[in-house]
Amino acid sequence: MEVAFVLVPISLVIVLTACWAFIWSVKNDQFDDLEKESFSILMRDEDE
Amino acid sequence: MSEVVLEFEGEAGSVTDKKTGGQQVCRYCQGIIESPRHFVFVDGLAAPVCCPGCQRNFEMDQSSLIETQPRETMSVAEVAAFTATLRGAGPNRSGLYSVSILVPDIRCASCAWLIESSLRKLNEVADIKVSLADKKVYLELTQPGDLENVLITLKSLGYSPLPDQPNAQAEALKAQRKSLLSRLGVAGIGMMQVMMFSLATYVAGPGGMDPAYQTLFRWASLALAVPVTFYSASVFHTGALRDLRRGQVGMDVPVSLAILSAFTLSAVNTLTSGEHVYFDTVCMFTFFLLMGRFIEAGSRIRFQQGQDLIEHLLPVMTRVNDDPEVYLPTHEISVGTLVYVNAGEPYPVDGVVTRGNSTADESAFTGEVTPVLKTVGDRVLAGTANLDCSMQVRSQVTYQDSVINQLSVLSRDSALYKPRFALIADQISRYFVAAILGLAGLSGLYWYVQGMSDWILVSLTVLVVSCPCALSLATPIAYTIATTRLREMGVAVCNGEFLERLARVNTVAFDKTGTLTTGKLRLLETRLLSEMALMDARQIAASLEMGSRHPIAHAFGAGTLEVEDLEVTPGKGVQGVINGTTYRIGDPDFVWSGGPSGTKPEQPDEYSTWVLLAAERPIAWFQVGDDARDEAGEVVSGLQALGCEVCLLTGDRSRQGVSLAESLGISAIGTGLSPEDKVGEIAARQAQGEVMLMIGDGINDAAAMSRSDTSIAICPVDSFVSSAADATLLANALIPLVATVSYARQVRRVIAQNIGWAVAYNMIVVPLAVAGMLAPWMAALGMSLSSLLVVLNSNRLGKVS
Repeated sequence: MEVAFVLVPISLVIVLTACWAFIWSVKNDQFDDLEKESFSILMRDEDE
Repeated sequence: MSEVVLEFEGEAGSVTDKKTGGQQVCRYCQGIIESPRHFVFVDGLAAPVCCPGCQRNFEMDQSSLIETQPRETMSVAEVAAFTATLRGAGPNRSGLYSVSILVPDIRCASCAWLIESSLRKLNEVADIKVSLADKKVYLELTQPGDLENVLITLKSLGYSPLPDQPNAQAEALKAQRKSLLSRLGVAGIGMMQVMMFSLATYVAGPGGMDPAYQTLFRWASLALAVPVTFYSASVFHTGALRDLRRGQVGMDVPVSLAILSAFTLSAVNTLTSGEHVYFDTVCMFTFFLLMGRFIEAGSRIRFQQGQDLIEHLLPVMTRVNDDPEVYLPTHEISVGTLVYVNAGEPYPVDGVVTRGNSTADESAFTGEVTPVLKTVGDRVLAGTANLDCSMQVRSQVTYQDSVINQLSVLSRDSALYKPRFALIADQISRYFVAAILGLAGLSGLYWYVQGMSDWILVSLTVLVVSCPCALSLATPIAYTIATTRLREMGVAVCNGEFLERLARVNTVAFDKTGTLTTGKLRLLETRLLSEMALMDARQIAASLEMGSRHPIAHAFGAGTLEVEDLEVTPGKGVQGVINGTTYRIGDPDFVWSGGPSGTKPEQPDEYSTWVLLAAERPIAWFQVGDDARDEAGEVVSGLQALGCEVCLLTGDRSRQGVSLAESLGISAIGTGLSPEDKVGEIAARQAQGEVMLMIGDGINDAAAMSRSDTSIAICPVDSFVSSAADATLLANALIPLVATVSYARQVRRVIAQNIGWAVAYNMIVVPLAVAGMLAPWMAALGMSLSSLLVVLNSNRLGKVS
């Protein structure tokens, strides 16, 4: 179980990265329009 | 297949669709269509679609043939005018120029797809993003201001691009939403991690875990709780600080206090290996509370957008000369300026048509989707769309006085208005918060004395559970939504108390002329009483009546004689001097009291409205009349079905009023009433406990309107929004009246539900929390759910049809 002393700090680093990634995506307008992107799979590709 | 032909044939087909029933849905995306303007052909029949995007997609599904759209052209001046209004930002880090364009007719994902795929083909467009929520196109251009092709493409696709005007309030709200979302995300991630450590501790039970691991988990939890406490929860701390600086105890104070004290206590216990840590509680508090704030902010943004769109209806630049084209900023257009409006463009000014025939889409103001015919002499409103042909319009008022500006000022004012409910709720909240702080301290002390180890948790739970957020949200959010919805129904609310009072109304008093009747009075007959020629008598009457705003005055048409010493007695008549002779026209008693000599002439009959013209001697009788509105009967019976007593108060003393009332099923009628009599009549009814709604044109019954509990003006022909009434019906029709009354009652019901829920919730949970029967996370979740319930309940008001 001593491995917890290594794994817990690693998990903290991962959490930190996740927080950073989330804030980055909010700042880059990824969450501004949640409606349109859900339809993108149904839309035609550009060059059709 | 050109688009013009499509629309034309489709329009004809859709008339029957509309009559036969219900709402129309888009053939492609199933979205609801208010006014069908785009069509596709299915088996030779026209079927409506919501937008050019859906039309394009549908046609592409039907055949592999992709037709090229006709190229629209756009003049250099028009593009220059458009570009001039854009913010002149320099290149960004990638050397590109960012531009945003507002396209109000973006409706669904098909539009976004069509615009994105069409514009991306242009060389000057490096990147493009269409936002469905904002109805905006965000572009990255390789050259600054290189917009001509972009604009022409948008127009060719059938959209009407507008320059995007920065709006400080909307931007601030969006920034607030973003900041809340970041904080919410951090709190959520933090909460999940801390819960993992806590869970292990709970499962192991007291003493079940090696102290070394327990210390490790505590330190890890501390590390996770730091950003949650000081980043995510900082909105509560700054709010609390702001309140305390102002010497108030706001709602953020107990929340901030709870979070900070729980964190500090846990941190101290971690350092000193104390008995309890509450990091999981800290994170959960923060997460659930932020969730409530975030949903509230989202709801605000949605309704802010509704308010803003009306201002976006107006073009920024106005064409004041056609050849060569000259543009002026719309808000600088002065009264009397001739402006030019092409088909498909919005009218920039309130004015009168001087050249051209076309139809206008006035649905933004009236809720009525059928286009209105416009020809020379007709009134057009800024912000309504010119549909068919080029028009020339003479502006009648400045931008400040235009209906669209008055509306946005009014809606801003009514948003600031705090109804009685809200003021009481605010008062209660203030004392309530102070009481909570005391209660939380006392219950903590009690349990400490009782020897409970988790006494601090009880204190914190009381702090959080009793926060009166839902109570203070209950009214404002319902009012914001209701005001916006009413405007969509064609009712402009000018007084915030309107809805509150309207909900209590049990008697509706109508004015007759111009309210229950069309108000378009006609001169039916002239009976001469002197030697004067018929046309001369009419000319004198017309010239005198030019000074009056009473509906009867319109029946006489335009007069050309010069009138001196004009005196208007409201509801009675007019006196003036023409070529040295004093004339009086109006109500026979009024005219006679002015001192003509001889015997008063007998009124030709008692059944219709007669106007007397006299100088020294009587000159002529004029008979005027108008017809009942088509919808009057329906509206009267609708109001009666809602349990309202309907009465008719008219200045008219003829039989016409009585017969009109009888045909409409109105039993209470007062005829021959002066404005003072009307006030007296209303006061008498109020004395009997009736709550009065007065409906009139807002001009000659202004006094009666202000005496009534509340009033609605029906939009008069020559002015736009009435200031005398609490609300104005913008379409010249009574149709929205019944819906408005029942809507007001529904708003009252929703607010009562909100307040009832908020009070009941606090009454139940506060005792439980004091008794130590609630876990802290339940308190935080309960409080957020309580606020959420209030917001969702209020949102129902936005969906009423």
